[in-house]
Parts: sequence; C-alpha cells; structure tokens
Amino acid sequence: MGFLQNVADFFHDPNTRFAEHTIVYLKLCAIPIVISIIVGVLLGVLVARRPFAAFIATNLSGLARAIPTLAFLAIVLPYLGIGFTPAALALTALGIPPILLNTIAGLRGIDPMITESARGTGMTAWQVLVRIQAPLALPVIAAGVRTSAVQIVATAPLAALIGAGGYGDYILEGINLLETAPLVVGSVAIAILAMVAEFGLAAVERAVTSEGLRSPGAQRAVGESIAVEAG
Amino acid sequence: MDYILQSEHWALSDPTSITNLIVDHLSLTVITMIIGFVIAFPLGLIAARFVRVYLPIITLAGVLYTIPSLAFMAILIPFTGLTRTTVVLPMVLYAQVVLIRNIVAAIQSVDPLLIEAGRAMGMNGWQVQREVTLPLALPVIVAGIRVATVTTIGIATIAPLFGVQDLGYLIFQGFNTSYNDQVVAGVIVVSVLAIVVDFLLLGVQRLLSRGRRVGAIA
Repeated sequence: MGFLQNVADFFHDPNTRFAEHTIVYLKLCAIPIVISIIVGVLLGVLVARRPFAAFIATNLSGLARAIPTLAFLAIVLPYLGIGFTPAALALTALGIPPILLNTIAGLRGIDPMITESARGTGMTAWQVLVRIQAPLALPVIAAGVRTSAVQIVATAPLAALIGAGGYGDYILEGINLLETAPLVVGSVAIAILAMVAEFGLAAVERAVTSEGLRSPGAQRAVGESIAVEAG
Repeated sequence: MDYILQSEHWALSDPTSITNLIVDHLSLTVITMIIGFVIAFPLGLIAARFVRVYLPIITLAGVLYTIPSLAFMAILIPFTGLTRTTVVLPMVLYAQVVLIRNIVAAIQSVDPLLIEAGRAMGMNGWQVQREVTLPLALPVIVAGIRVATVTTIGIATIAPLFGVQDLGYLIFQGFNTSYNDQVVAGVIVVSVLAIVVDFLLLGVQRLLSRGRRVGAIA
C-alpha cells in the first residue's frame, strides 16, 4: 500500500496547499461560467430577432468551437501576460460560443404561431418573452450552459500553464518530476469536478424543462449536447 | 506573425519545423480516428440493432468523455509513461461517444420502407446492409467522423506535455522560452488546421448526402 501512503502523505503535506489550489480552481471555473452565461444569453437574445446578425453569430461561434481549447489560453499570454485574470478571460471566451449558439437556436426554434397567438391573447412583448419564449427556450439554453461549463472545467487545468494555479499545477509537477502522487491527486480531483459539473447541470437542465415539454424521448444521455450546425 | 513567415521555420530538414509538426499532428489524428472508428463501427451496428445495449454503451462512453484530457492522460503516465499510447488511448475513447451516437442515428434514420424494398428485390440481410442501409447512413456517419476529428485535433495539442511531438510543441516551446511569436504561430497554425479539416469533411459530407441536409449529433 505504498502508493496510497504516498497519496495520503501528499494530502497531509502542508507544502501541497490542497485547499488553496481547490479555491483557485473553483474560482477559475465559476467566474468564467457566470460571465459567459450573462454575455452569451444577452447577446443571443439581442441577435436572435435579426436574421443577418444571427447568421453571423452562429457561424462565428461554430468556427470558434473548432479552435482547440489550448489555443484560447495560449493566445492571451503574449498580449495579457500570465496569471489568473488572463486565464479567466480566455476561459470566458471559450465558454460564450456554446451558450450564444443555443440561445439563438432556442429562441429561433420557437414556432412563430405560438408567439403570434400569445400576442393575439393580448400579451405584451415582455410577457411573451417571459411567459412563452423563456420557458420554451430555457432547456436548449441550459444545454448550452452545460456544454460550456463542462468545457471550462475541463480546460481550467491547462490554465496552470499560464500561471493561473489550481489543480493543473499538480499535474504539471507530476509530469516534470514523474511522480505518481501529484498526478493521481490532480487528475482525480479534476475528473470529479468535471463529473459534478456534467451531472449537476444535466439535473438543472431537466429541472428547467417545463412539464409540458418533458417526454421520455427528450432525455439526453450524459455527455450529450445539442449540436447546432453552422452553415 | 514573424515566426510563421520565416521560410526556415517551414524547412523539411528541421524535425520541429511547422511543416513536419503539421504532419505529426495529422498522423496522430489519423491514427486516433482509424482506431476509434474500428472500435465504434461494430459497437454502433450492435447498438443500433439491440436497443438494450445502446444505453450502457453510450453512458460508459459519455462518462469517459467527461474526464478532462489533461487528467486522463496524466493518470495514464504511471502505466504507459510518456509515450504515444498515453496520448492516443484517451483520444480514441473520447471519439467513441460522437462516433457511436452518429452511427446509431444514421442507421436508425434509414426509411424502413427502403429496407423492405431491398428485401423484396431478393437481397439477403447482408446485401440490404451493404447496398441500402450503409450508403443511406453514410452522410450522418461522416458527420460524426467530422466532429470527432476536429475534437481530436484540438485535444492532440496538449500531446507535447506527454513527450509526443505535434503542433502543440510550438505553443509549449514558446511558453518555456517566452518566445511569443512562436506561441502565436502555434495557435494560428493549429486553429487553421482544425478549421480547414472541418470544412473539408463538411464538403465530403455534403457530397455524400447529395442535397439532403444532415447534421451531426455531438
């Protein structure tokens, strides 16, 4: 059991600062997720009603999703330097496209007949947005949030490369020294957080799906996301 | 931008020139996709036919897909060291979700009437599969291959951390020597490569679908 002993020692060693790395990692994930939700949803709502703008936003976001996640982190380094803020910015940029795509798709996917008849019953534009469009688009937007959050959580360890700290530090240390304990502690901690994000947000997605929209076939498997095809 | 424009960085004689790194990157991607498809194709065929097998397969693939690549590769180091296996194995497993889901969706989307028609023409089960189902399913399968390939190109960028050379080398080498031009070069080349491959495979997909619109299920 020498290996487990190593891992236990690693935890108890004050030099590994596990609590500190955990807080940095959580902040590195939470801040970009919150900002990309705000930006992605607002931008999506603004753009969804304008066909040309929606076309541009959809294609640009589709293009952005082809770009490797490491590229987002690497490109901030020459311009913004190292540390927490540049990394958080890069992760935010990474998180916006899936939410923007799904907000546009969610809003544009609503049958115009439904909004039309809501207007017909005398609802104001605001009421149509809040009572009709929001509940119908929310599950799709939530799916985008899940995709983006999981991507951010999965990319955040790479932020250690540009000096943002967090669990990625353990992995880089483990690779450099070829030591098993930091590799195992780092990767297990990262994997657990990624799973929590994926399963937690899948539950949120189900919760925000209004009862009338639920059907057995509508449930999606783990890791599944709604792909919005650009072009 | 200087780094990309200097011709010496494209020289074939230098193993870390952009040209050679592109070849390395693509070969890593192609190996992953070939192994990935060889595993996913039979699994997809089985899952398409037996509904009860589909859920466990896709759930397992989904859970593996959730593990971040850096963590997955790092945890393999004690077993496989700093080798190609450490990098390729997780990428093969990641590709499974998208490939299997698209293969299943592709096969299930074939109109049963057409299969019936094939039968009526005297085809046996194997012939129906080869002459009717697979050609009709092909565009959606290719759509899955496209998504998986672009994802693989992205993940492969971290390979140099595990001692395997590809375009990520430019980024990591640039980090280590604070050579910003090299980092930018790496980012541009790898992004352009991913986008170009995405468009090429989209073209193949369009060609195969002969006008019908198909989307990937990612």
